[in-house]
Amino acid sequence: MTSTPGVRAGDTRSAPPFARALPHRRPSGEPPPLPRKLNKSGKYWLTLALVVVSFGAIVATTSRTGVVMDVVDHQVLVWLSELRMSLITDLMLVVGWLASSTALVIAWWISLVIMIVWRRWRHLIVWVIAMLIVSNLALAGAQVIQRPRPLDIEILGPWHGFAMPSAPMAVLAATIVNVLYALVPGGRPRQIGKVVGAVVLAAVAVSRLYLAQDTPTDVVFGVILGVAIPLALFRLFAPNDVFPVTYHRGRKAHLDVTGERGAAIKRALREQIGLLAVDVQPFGLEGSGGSTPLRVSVEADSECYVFSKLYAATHLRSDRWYKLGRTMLYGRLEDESAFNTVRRLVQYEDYLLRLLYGAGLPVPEPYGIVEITPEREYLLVTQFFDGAREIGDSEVDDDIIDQGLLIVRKLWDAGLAHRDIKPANLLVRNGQLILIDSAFAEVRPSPWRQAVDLANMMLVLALRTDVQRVYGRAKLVFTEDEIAEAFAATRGITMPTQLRRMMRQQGRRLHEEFRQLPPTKPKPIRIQRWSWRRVGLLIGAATLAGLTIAIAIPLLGSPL
Amino acid sequence: MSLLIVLVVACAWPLSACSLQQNVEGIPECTHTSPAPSGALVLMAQAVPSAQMIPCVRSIPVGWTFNHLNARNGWAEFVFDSDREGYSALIVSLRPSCSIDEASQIASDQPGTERYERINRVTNGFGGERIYTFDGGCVVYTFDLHGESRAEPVTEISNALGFVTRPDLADQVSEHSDGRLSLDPTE
Repeated sequence: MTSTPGVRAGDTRSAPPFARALPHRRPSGEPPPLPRKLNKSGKYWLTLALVVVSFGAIVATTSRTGVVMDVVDHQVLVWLSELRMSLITDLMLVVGWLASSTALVIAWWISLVIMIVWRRWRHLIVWVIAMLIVSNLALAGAQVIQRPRPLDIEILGPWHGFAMPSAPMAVLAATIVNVLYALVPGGRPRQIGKVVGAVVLAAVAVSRLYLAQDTPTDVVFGVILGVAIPLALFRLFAPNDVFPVTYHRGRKAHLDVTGERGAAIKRALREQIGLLAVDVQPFGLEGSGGSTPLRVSVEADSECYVFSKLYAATHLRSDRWYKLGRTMLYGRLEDESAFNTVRRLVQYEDYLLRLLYGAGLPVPEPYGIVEITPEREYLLVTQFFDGAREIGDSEVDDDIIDQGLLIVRKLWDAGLAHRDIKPANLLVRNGQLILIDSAFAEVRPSPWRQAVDLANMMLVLALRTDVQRVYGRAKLVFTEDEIAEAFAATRGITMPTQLRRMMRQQGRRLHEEFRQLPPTKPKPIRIQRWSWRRVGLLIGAATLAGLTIAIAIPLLGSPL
Repeated sequence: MSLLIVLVVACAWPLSACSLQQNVEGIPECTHTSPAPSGALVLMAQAVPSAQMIPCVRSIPVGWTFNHLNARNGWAEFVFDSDREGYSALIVSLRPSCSIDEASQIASDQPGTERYERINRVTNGFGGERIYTFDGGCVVYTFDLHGESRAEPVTEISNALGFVTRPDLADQVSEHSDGRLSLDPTE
């Protein structure tokens, strides 16, 4: 049955009311709008680390270099030893405690708790890897160079093992850098933190020299290694502009669009699709976990916006984990193949949106894809429906119900499935129903998936009305068998989380009510699918969990 | 490029250990081949500044491997594994003082020392301690052997060990630095 009860597709199509500039092609060699880079200081520290490693190799191979270094170091320590007094010695022993195993493990545990509470997993992984590299490099370096403790002077404090590079200084420096980049928000707090960290590091260095636990070169080498490695790793794998350290709750997948990225977005919009952006603001973050949705003000005679979704590597990974999780929980229920690159993820969504638009569905007009950082960040730009409200907050009458049902019919006719029909993706503006977010849409879906789209649409429509009314209108567009099939296919995970939550909040068993209405009641369609891949994934996940626990327990100890 | 630098920094140092073909295990060798004194011996001497003798390794018998050296202020030790006697079959530790309770004194095979023996186990191999005392410190050989024979491995590994006197080591340090540095603080 394809006849429609006089419903009209949402009139969402009209010429955009803003002027567009001519796009500008980026010549070869010109940097992209937001190049991926280490900051200058990171490069300096890495270069210093290379110098340290080279110098260490020279010291290990030529004994004369070692002698010269010993003599120079000795002069400094002798000068400091002339300042020795019992009061200063006691003070230095207290300061030196900061680089002790106990102090470092306390700092690690506190930081670990903070990172777990704030679910800062990426920072935690970078922290652990940086600390493993620093501590092992310091130990390996000391083992290769085999430099004894300072000669010809009384050592006052505790020490352990060969001296160069100073392992306590390396680990303390790495801890300070880790704390700064994993726990302290960027900007002024981090700048202040750097000063405090430098003071702490300097105080402990002076303490260790005064007590003759280390020589100046041991300290310098330790500090350079301890700073360079975590700094480079954080800048490369958890850059602040992509993974900002913040202490407000919310989805972590959203990117910061102020500062450099904000400027890059505006420039990219102008150069690539000719949009003259004035302002970029996050928009509807609570409804989106897979991208960072933005509202972009553009130059026009009157107030005018476009909508855009910013995708980055972090969203690609979220998509991958989401699909992997679904495969483990339900098997290969439908296409769970992950995307390999951010570019392909965005291309897919843009293509599906164009298909939906071409099929005459009331969806936003696609304006194109904008590259922010090649292979890492892309922007999908579409029409913005100013003044539109979620269907859950709007009045739903028979006309809206009919438009919703017609959307599903059109999807079926075009051989498409939306796969994420929920209140947040159905907007109402001027009495017209609009379908947004084509990220999960699929071409030539399974009949099961098409049936689920219908059931979810009917459930959303019934949230603001009642089951009988929606069912009555649906019978004008679909057969009773099709409706029965839809509710036999739909339950649990197949309903979007937001839809399930809203039904729970209303205390209504809409799904059950719909199931009772059709005269024929087919058996529920099984959603658990077993395959060798699923079994393998479950075994792999269990093994990985066991290994993680086995690795994590020793990591809880002191890095020294 | 930056990632490459990180990888180079992370890998170069440990790899240089292999390329240098030096004693990376930190074996305190009695006769050092390079002009510089053994860093491991100096470190052990620094761990117990009063000790007038420092234990060292003459050669490593077949079937035995040097496991590691551990030195910190107050004590130092090194550990040998054996393919027949098991892991940590012998621990040689240098300390400022040792208990010789229930130990029997016997004639010392190391000049300038007194030797004591304490037997803890003679079943399933051998467990016991050999203690050398000398001015300012002592050295304990702790045997934990799990092989079939007892006397042979004890003799074998004991003969591979020796002592360097502190004055000799101090001379090496001074000579290597052209008299500019000494092992111990000068008064």
